[in-house]
Amino acid sequence: MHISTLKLNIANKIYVVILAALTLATAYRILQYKSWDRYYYDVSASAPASFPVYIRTANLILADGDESWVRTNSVNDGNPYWGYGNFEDPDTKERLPEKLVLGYASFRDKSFYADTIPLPVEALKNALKNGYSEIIVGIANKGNIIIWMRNEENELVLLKHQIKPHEPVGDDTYYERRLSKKEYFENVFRLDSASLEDFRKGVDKDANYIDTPSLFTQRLTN
Amino acid sequence: MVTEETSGDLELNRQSGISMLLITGILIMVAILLSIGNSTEDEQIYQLALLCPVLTILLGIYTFTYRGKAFLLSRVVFFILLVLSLLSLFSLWYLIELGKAYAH
Repeated sequence: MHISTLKLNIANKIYVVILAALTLATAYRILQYKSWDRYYYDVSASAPASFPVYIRTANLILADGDESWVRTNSVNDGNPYWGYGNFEDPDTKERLPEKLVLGYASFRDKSFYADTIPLPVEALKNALKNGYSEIIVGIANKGNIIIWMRNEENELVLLKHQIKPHEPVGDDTYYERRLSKKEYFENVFRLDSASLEDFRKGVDKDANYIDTPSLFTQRLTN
Repeated sequence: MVTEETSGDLELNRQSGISMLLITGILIMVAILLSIGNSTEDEQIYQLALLCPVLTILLGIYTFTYRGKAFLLSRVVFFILLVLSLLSLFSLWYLIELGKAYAH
């Protein structure tokens, strides 16, 4: 064997270094991205129409520390429907959510609620593997939170949690500018007079929505 | 009998063959690296715009290392890539500057 078979010229040495660096970068990226631990899912909030809330914060902390958002349109735009949210087909796989950071104002009890709720990761993972790709964060009255997971035919309850109300502090009442509590409620809630009248009469005031099945389940059973 | 010149040619051919293999390997690895993960549309434009200059540099090393009639094709391709790279870099610069006009 000719001795020069093992020799590389400078150009090839440069290529080898580039290839080695790229291989290392690719290996690092694969290990960091963890495509085997990613799932298609979408998360939306939901609230009963008779207990309007305005969601200030609804974020998810994912397993890799990234943040993701809970869709809040149907709730904040004043078109809530207990157990339903606004979903879109997810086009990217995400890591599992580990925590839910939630903060909202509740119209009827004029209270603010905020908490970081740890999620049961194993149960969540099993449900996602079984096709439960819609996650619904139900905001019931009295600070009660219920999280459902749903596929096309079934629904399961992932967790129930209660948050204690607090008086607003600092930017809790920020809406374009910092407002008083009263101004804040007047600004963020756009309720029609019929609803306001219903609330004055106390419609549904003793309801306990945490125990009320979602409209999805009601439809399934009817 | 192998003359010094032909043995030199053989060596050059061997090295240039290895170079081509390595360039192919690098391009495959770049493709794999870019395919992992979720890229935003902006990132994809960057990647696309920078791919041509990267290829030009790789081929540039090749073109300046291996001279001679046998490597005429690489020189032609290199100059075409050089023009394309300049064009894609200019387009990227233009897009970025255009984007700035919309920043409030």
